[in-house]
Amino acid sequence: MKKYIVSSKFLLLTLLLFTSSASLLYIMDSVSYTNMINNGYISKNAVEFIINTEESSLDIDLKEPYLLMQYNLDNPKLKYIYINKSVKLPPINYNKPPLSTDYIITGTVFPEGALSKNMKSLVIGQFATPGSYLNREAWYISKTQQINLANGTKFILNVESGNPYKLMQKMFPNTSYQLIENEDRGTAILKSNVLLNGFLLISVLFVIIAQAVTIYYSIHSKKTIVQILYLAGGKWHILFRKVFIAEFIALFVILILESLVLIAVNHFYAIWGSHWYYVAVFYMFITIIGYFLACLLMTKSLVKKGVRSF
Amino acid sequence: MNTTRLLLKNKKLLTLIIGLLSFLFSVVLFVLLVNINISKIEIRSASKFHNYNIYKLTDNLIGEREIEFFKDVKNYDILNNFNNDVFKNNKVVFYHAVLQPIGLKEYPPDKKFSAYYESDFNNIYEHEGAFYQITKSMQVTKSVFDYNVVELIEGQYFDDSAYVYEAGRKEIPVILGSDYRPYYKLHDQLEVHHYFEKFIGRVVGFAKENSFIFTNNEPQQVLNRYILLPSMSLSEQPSELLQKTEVNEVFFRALLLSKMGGILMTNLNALEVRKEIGEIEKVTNFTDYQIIGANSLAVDLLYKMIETNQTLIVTISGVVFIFILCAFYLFVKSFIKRQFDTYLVFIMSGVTNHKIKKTIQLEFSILNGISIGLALLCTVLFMQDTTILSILIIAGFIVWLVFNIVVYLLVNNLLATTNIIEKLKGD
Repeated sequence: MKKYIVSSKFLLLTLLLFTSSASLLYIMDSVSYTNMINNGYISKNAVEFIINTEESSLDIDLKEPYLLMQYNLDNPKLKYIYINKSVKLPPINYNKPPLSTDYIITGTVFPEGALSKNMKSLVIGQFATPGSYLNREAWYISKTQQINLANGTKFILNVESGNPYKLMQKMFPNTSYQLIENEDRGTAILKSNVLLNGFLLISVLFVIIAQAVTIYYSIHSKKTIVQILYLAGGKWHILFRKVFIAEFIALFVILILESLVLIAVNHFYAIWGSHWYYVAVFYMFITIIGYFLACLLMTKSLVKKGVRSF
Repeated sequence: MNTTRLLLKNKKLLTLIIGLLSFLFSVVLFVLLVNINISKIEIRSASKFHNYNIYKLTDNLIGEREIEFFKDVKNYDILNNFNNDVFKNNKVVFYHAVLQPIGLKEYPPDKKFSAYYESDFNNIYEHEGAFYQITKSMQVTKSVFDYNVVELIEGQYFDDSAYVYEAGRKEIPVILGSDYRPYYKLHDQLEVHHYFEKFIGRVVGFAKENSFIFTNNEPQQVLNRYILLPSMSLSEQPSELLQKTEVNEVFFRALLLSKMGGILMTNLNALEVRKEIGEIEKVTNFTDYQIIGANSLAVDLLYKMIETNQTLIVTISGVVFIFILCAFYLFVKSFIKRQFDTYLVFIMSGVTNHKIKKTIQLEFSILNGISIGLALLCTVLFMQDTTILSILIIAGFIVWLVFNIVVYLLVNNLLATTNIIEKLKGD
């Protein structure tokens, strides 16, 4: 007789459903990232503001990931960019390797004549974003963390996660500013794009229900063995361990392996932020805990009933 | 019938879950179809601009030249004739969507409606003891609605008479952007200053959220914060209107000049379009104009963006749908297999194979039918879009039919391959 019971079919199905949910979450964030690129690399939760100060420059001292755009109201297509090293830049075709000093990336239809002679020499690449407002812009990527307000007083702050307003206050603690309620452009406002997100959400719901069915089947199929073992004189915790422990260990191994694969995907096919990754791992963890509790409840309830139904 | 009832009663929860999966599967299918239709409409709209040659009409009446030109009242008529003839020409589409802030009395408290909100400039002025806000507004010709997908939440588009200014007219219909909804309702009357003239703006409609139109500078001019006014032509010659009314000449001048910022969309090449407008020049005697090969970058960007979006939608939706289809099939198959033991008990009780086959088929047929029907209802109610209702009904019927056939084949296969005697013996 087998010492432990493991349903390979259940484990395989769970692995497939975990992968599906993670893929769907990744696709959802990829769509948001595409929208962000097409909107001129402005994310949905970006903060737009105008700084009012007598100072001529401001210093940034932050460890959190951010991408800050600065521009002049008269020339909004030339943007000065301040970034924390860890954030992802939009797709760029580099003519030369990125410099350790300041450099400029231009959009494919940005008139280079609009740049001064000194600035032209800093151009090292073009945005590889065919359907984006970035094509009409030029980015001066600053390596210093000191903002020269002569370059403009209007700002847009992109953050990977968390509350962008809090980060803005942390960035400019003693500076007066006027918040501007921004509007999306690009693919994000297309009706079909909005509906695509709805489509993906329903698909996620489908996977969750499918997961629930799988768990139901799995628990249901083990009812009989629990009843037999109990009638054979087993104590509930011993029979619980015998019937379910190997499966739980296998599920946790799946969780760890899947998390490692997702880390690799997040590294090699990075998008803006890692929100999808955390949600996917959280979902898998919650599902396993849910399964554990459901198994525990089923065993306890069978024992409590004295297996009358058998 | 009693057997069917017993079978269903035996697995209420599972039936419910499979029903839910079937419902979600159908919703996914319907949303996919609706979305493909929407993305088709979007690309068709962008293609209209993309397939045309676009030229910009502009005037040379700047500074002193403008003052000199409008000193003679006859010149108002000349410019008006030129505008009208360009508009009527059947070889070019005159497309006019121009940003033109208006003064709005009793404006909403939210500053985002003010014309220069994004630059944080003061937009309030006082006139005859009342405060007005310089407010975001656009003048549009009928062609703007023909060539863009501007849907209304409520109300109606401008009727043809809205685009004509007649002597003594004091009311203009306006369509408001969706952000105005908390502040105004249909048929409300707004007091506006349009080219320094007072008008009553009667609200005739609200645009849907994130509606946008193409302008020469902006591929997507989002209308949420805008007041749309009809771009008006004059019912009579301006010289006559100036005599008949007390309206300031500045109003007519601005109205006529604003048309000169319009776009000409045509299949003609640069030479041909110049020749065509040259004919109008000869007839009307208006020479202070230029035709510029308009920057096609805005159109290109709009087209590429929508094309990228369509590829994204088709690819993602296609892959996800195929996955969901496979998953749904597997779950149906697994559901039948799992329940087979229950069916065997009924065989022991004397129920025939044929009866069992019929019962399973009936069960799935009803369950799937209800789920597909509910999904169709939810999709239509939620999307409020009945344009492809017939396609959705056909798709729903095909899915129902296909799954009935699949279930029939599955059950037949299971009954044929299972040795019932051995199963019943417990081997």
